[in-house]
Amino acid sequence: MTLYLIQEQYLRDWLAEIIATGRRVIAPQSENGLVVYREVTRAETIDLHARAKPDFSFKHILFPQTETVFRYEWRERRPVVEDAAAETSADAENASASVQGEVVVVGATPCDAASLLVLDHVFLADPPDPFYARRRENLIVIGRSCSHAQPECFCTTVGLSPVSTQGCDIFLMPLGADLCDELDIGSGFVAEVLSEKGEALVANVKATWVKPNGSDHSTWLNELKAAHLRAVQAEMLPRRALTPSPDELKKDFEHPAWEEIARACLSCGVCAFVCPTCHCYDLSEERQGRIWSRCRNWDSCAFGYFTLHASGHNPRPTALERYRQRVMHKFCYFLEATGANMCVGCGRCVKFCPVGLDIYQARARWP
Amino acid sequence: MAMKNPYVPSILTVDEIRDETPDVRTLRLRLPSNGSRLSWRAGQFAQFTVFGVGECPFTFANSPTRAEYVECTFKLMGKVTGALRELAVGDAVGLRGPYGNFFPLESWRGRNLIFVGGGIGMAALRAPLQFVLDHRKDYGEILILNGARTVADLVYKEEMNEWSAFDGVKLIRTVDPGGETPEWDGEVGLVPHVFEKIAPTPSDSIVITCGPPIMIHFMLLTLEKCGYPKERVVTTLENKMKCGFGKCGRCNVGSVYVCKDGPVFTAAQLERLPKEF
Ligand SMILES: Cc1cc2nc3c(=O)[nH]c(=O)nc-3n(C[C@H](O)[C@H](O)[C@H](O)COP(=O)(O)OP(=O)(O)OC[C@H]3O[C@@H](n4cnc5c(N)ncnc54)[C@H](O)[C@@H]3O)c2cc1C
Ligand code: SF4
Ligand code: SF4
Ligand code: FES
Repeated sequence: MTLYLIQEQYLRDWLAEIIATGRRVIAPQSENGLVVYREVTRAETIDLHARAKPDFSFKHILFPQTETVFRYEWRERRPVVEDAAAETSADAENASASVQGEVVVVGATPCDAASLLVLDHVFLADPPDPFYARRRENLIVIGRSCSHAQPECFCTTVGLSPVSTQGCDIFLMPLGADLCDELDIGSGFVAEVLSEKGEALVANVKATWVKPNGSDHSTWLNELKAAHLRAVQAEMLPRRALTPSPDELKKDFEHPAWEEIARACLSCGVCAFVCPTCHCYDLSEERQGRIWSRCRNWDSCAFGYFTLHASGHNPRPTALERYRQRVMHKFCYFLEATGANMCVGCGRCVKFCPVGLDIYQARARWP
Repeated sequence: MAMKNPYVPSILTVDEIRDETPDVRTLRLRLPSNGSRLSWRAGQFAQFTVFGVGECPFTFANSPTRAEYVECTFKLMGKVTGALRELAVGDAVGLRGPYGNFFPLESWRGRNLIFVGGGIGMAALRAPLQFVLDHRKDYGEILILNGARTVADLVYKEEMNEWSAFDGVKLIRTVDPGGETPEWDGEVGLVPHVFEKIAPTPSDSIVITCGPPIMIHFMLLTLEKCGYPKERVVTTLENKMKCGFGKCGRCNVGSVYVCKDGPVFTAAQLERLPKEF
């Protein structure tokens, strides 16, 4: 890890330079009353001091809501198949010669950056998904600390925090006014460069990145983070840490509380669609004119047909089994397989659920 | 650096069509002529595409010892299986796979094997049966218990006769009460009931059972009652699947993905899973 200090103006110049090199830059932007990660063409429009986290994560950059996995058309009564991944890979090959294939996400929240570890676990496992793998290879994540928590946020209960850097190539934290005065830099950031990709971006794109004086920055950085965390945590609802307990959850699989927990669920699937870590998908046939395609679309275990057999038998027939699956998959099965929760505590599923189901509350009933 | 796209199927060709029952059909598919080969293990499955319609999973119905072609036996259920029935000899079928785990046939050498299949579930037992018969001397006594709703619904009728002609192979067929015809000389009764009646001794045998969820449920209870150790009772699950390789999330049951960690499970393994299959 390398540590830098950078003035806000220089940081902006650097971002402008990145855009000028032809890399795609994605940052939180307002769109129809929501804040979403979208491509930006002017560095000035990037809000480096955003108060709130974006309404949705940037999952769609790596795993679009709908995508063609292959196409075919009929020639003399035989299907002729065209591999859609070959295009992605040809693009990427041209791209590696220049830098056009690189996508830089600026201002990723710690929860959104951490969700990449979950998605990587799924999509890069054997056999790797070529669509995801390509985009992931070309993705650079510049995270930022959260300056304010929202009521639904509970990242600190799942092992993350407003200053955690998991999944980031570079992590930015604004320097307090007093520090900026001391350093005489108006307003500025401390930047942790955490990966080779991050190092390359700092080295290759010209701008003024300053290494702080002195040798022991870790104490100083930790203090800065601790102070930042205290300030944000003061705004968060008091909640207890969710200690890993797959066995407790499993033991209570048949607990009557599930009935009460899931009673209101409408099986609408909104929770999965706004979740940065949900990754279930459907494969279906679509047609445009003479061209057919096999499409992959986001799906959700909340839907009744998700597990419905063709015979009519359904292993998860009601909202109870399906909501329980959501909680168990995130806090038990995935945890067992990987050692991490499949939930980054962003609280979006809580905020957007039409009937106010709260996954933290559901999980927190158990030790 | 092209990464393989696991969603793209190979294109096979329908070579032969055989009707097993009024709604069950077996297709024999020819491998692509570009010399590509396919190897699989008995118990594995593949995703079959009817182009212009969609995809669905079927088990390999033929043994890897007969890998010059691929066979699948399917029951008419809905969209894809309906379209599959429309295909004629010479038509294209997409296939990607093999996926999933398989029957540990190597480790069953020397054992007595009891195959219990109900309805279309028999399709999953055909590959291991063919394998065992192709290595007849490696295995002990073989008992096949095959059930269906009615006499007309019994699959692989001719093959069953060939199989039962092997030394040390015993075949028992049964139909549900009311499903018999005047000429019927087999058993009448539900599969678990007939099993209990003939009650083969558990010593040294492996039971491989496949059929509708309700039959499996009662078979497992019966086997427990008859004293079969759960480690020696093997079945296959048929959860809804899309990708086939552990990503799309469809087939997740507890800590396993049926497509990747299954579809073959022992009764002991099933006992540790939530009952969501
Ligand atoms: C590992 C594995 C191996 C298998 N092997 C075999 C085999 O060897 N032979 C065999 O015959 N079968 C086998 N099956 C089952 C087979 O895959 C299904 O029967 C087949 O997918 C049915 O497809 P379909 O399109 O014809 O049916 P459809 O009913 O059209 O299926 C499409 C899907 O739509 C959904 N659907 C159905 N009805 C409704 C409704 N009213 N409302 C909403 N949604 C609905 C269901 O989820 C259904 O699965 C296997 C399954 C698995 C998982
Ligand atoms: S928990 Fe809420 S958002 Fe999720 S499916 Fe149920 S009603 Fe919809
Ligand atoms: S489950 Fe809810 S809180 Fe957890 S990551 Fe998904 S949307 Fe965020
Ligand atoms: S079928 Fe996709 S995960 Fe099993």
